[in-house]
Amino acid sequence: MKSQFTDTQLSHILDQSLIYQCACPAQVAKHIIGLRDLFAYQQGCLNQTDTDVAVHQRIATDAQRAHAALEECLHAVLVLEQWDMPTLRMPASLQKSPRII
Amino acid sequence: MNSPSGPIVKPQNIGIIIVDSSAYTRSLLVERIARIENCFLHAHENLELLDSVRLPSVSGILVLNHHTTDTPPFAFLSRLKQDHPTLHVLVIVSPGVEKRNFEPLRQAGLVDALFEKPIVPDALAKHVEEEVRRQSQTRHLATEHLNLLRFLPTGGLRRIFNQPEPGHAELFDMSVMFTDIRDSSRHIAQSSAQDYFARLNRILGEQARLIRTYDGMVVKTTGDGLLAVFEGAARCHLALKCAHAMQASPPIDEIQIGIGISDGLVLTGLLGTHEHMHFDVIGTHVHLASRLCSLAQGGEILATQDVASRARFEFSSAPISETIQVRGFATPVACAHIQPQIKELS
Repeated sequence: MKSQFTDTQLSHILDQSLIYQCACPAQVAKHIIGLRDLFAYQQGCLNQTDTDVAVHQRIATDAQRAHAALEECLHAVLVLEQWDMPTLRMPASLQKSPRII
Repeated sequence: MNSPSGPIVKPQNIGIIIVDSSAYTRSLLVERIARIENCFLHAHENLELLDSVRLPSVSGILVLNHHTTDTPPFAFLSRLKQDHPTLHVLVIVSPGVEKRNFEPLRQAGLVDALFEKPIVPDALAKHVEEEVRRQSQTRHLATEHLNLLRFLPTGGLRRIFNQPEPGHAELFDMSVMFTDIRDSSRHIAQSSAQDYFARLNRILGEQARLIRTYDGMVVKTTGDGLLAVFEGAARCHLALKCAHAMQASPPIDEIQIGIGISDGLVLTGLLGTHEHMHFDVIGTHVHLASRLCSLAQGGEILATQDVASRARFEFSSAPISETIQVRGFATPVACAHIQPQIKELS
């Protein structure tokens, strides 16, 4: 499966958001991870009949398409929100009332 | 479990430790968890700053927000659970590979709960709240248990409580001791009720302390005195030694006591109903010890001759033997009057 973002990069985006309500890129990242898991699962599924093969291939193909679309979406969202793309750092302005403990 | 001897214990709030290497997300966690009642928070930047061994004993929950860039905490969590098996460890982690890395820890019991990022704060708070409530209840019960042990039998007698049914009773060979204040009516008349009560509490408290010291058990207070029992092969010796220590101590506020001791088979059990039960001892030897206590002079121990002989006790002054016709007993009872010399206060 081709990917724009590595697992570590996706986790890094999720790490910076934590809370669901203020983490739109994180929600997208979470679904991308989910699609990767779904794709990997289909690859490992048992193929006992021709139907099995067709089912698993169809799911894997569509997972790839959805994955590519969501990665594009994530990239666009990060640009819109002005994340630092090389480091994938969340801009301070998006942090919700930060408080240093 | 030994009976507690220290002051009455009170339940404490639950300590929650939050570990998060990001100041921003740490502040979000603290902000949400701080709203939970009956707990207090400690926030740390990383696990290395936590000394697993020196973690406060009241710590009940660890919330670890693990970041991809953090050092894997597996060794630390393993050590932490070894040192604090009851600590509830909650880890917040990214889905996918990161979460899969933590799954074996959850299966091994090193992590109690895994939350996937991005978290729903209310779901996390609810989980922590429920855990605080559960731990508070457990601690409250443990505290109550510890405090109630002060009122419960010790040693073999405790097995009575394995079947806490009204009417459940067992026979034990025991030495039975009664203590009673002499001239209590005069003392009450000479002081206010409150003052007498305070003095009575001091006297009975000191007697109870000595009874515990000599492995005895206070069954109940009897107004101006106590009923106590002693078990085991050395029970006569321990009962007499305890009584001797009571009478050899200078009397508190000049108030003298009499002591009666008998030994033999005693029925012990739980009296009452399911709504209200109390532990008690019943039998001929309980009556006999009570009668001997009534007959004892102030400062005197009046024991059956059988107790005095079996005690193998070195008396400071030789016991005086006397056969006494005790009310309620068909045949006279061979007794020993023992009058310990009062020790000078150093």
